[in-house]
Amino acid sequence: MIKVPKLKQNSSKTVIFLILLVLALICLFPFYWMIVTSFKTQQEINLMPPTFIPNDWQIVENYVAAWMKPDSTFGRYFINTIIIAGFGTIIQLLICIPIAYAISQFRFRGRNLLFLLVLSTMMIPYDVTLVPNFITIRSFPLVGGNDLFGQGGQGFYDSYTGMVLPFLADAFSIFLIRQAFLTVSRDYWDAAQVDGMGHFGYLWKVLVPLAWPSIITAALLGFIGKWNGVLWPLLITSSEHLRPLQVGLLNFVSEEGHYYHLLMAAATFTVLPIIILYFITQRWFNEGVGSGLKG
Amino acid sequence: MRDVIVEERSKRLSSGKKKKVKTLRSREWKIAMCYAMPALLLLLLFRFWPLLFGVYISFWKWSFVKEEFLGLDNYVRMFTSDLVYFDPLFGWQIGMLAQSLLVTIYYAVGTIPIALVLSFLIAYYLFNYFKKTAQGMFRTIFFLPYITSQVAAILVFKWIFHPNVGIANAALVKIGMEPQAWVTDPEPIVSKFLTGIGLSWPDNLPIELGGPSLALCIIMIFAVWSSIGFNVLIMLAGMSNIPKELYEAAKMDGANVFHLMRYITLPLLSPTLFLLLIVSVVGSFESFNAFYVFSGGEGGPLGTTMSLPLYIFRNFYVYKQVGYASALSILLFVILFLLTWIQRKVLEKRVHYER
Repeated sequence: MIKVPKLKQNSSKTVIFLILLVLALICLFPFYWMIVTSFKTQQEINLMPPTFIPNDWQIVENYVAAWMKPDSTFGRYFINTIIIAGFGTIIQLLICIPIAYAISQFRFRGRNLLFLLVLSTMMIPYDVTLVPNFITIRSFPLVGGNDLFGQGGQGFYDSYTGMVLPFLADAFSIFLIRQAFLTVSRDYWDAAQVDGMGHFGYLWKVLVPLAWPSIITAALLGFIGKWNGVLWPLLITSSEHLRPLQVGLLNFVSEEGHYYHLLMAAATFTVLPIIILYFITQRWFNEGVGSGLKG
Repeated sequence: MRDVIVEERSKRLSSGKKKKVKTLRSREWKIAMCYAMPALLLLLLFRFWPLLFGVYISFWKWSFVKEEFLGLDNYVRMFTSDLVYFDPLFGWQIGMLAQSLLVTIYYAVGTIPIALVLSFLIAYYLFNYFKKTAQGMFRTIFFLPYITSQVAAILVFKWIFHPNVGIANAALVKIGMEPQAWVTDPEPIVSKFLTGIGLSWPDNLPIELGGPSLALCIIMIFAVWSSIGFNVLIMLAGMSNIPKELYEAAKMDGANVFHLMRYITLPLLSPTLFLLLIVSVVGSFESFNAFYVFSGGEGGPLGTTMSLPLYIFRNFYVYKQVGYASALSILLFVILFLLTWIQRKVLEKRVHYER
């Protein structure tokens, strides 16, 4: 048995710690640079070499200016994003939890096939579905002035529904929630039946609370995906008053792109809510990811 | 006589039981289907149907409405003028599609190995050298880029690599090097390197073959930065599933750190690593946001940041060639399908599924 001397072990641990610390600092640098730039004046952002700490702090002014800039539309963008991400995530869970329940708790012919079908959608690239989905949404029958054959109107084009509908059934969420349901012992179901509970009551009153970390994880990932989504909302909307934050940020670039201090302020308030949300839900999130990969 | 009756009864009983099991099964099936239906319908409509519908669209000249049946013309165009074409002034040239394929390949080859190796090392040392608190702290920091809006983050990267007042150039000047044009520099790095050591890129070879441009390199740095956290998170979860006793037994036998990594962690983590590899390949062939925001949707400078998804998007959204964009999407799907299949074939033997 070879014993590594205590001193050597400690010093190698310190070296590893320092390397990781440097990597972490590199990782954080873009955030630091974004926030610092957002506090500078326009003269200061054009200084070469740049300053690491602002000489003249513009803590409030830049944020107010960025918020007000393109005819004060950021407020609207925020509301739209909260609607899309918030309601979208809730509906996503209401759709994904039942199918996860069906796949994990029932025994029926074709169950594995169904699960395989769900998983295989993860292999279908997003970009491949883009063009057909656009046409599907635009010619959705009987909505937005369309007739039964999807002609005449614009379907769900340019609506909140059109922005979220294609992403409500998400294979990864279904997978995560299914894994969590599988870990719950069958005894709970027997006990629930003794108490006179049906499938509906059992799913929402017993299983969902037990699988909470995985559900929070799926919700968080869904929310982040919708909050950060840009390509689909850009394609499927044309009215300014419906567009979400990320598309708004793109508009901001095309209009005020040279004012980097304002741009960085806008980027900061786009990013901040998600980071705060992540810190709040982190406890469940780590647990959820951990248990999702055990099976 | 009695025995016969009993037998008869038990027979009837058992057949009744069988029937009951069967009806129970079909009832279970019905209820399960009710629960599965909404998600199933959405998946069929927005995931599987697009594949078929996309193939259908790709046979047509289509600009928001169906115009004219083209047969395979869109595919012929894809593999001829859009791949290589002859220019009377400059000779054989690389087409737009070929360039976007090259950009996507440079991007995938340049980011995936670095991201995976770096994430593995980080996860390995975090897992084996640090307690839960320190582990959690680092994991959180590395995960932040992953949840950050790509639009906002790529804007920050563009600002860091700003050609005039960016901090990257300030750092280069500080250590005595030439400042670079970064985001506006279309020259491939190989030709840049050759110029640097006094040679030059051969005239008869298309310049696009000379590797990624500095502009593309920035997107690649961004991609590594934003994907490490996710990889580390998944790898840490995978490592916590490896039984501790294995390490202890190996240490008893005199294994050093390198042995532990090579003979225990790597093989037992191989299913996780394989999954991450496939996810990364798919991810890099469908990455759009960073490319779009970086170049304002143009793919510039000189098309060196025109990824295949961005090219599809431009054909669809800018040129309004829906049929052709669809044909390109099908090409992307076939490429990814083949890549996944090849990875499976090549690596499956090395992946240890048994625990």
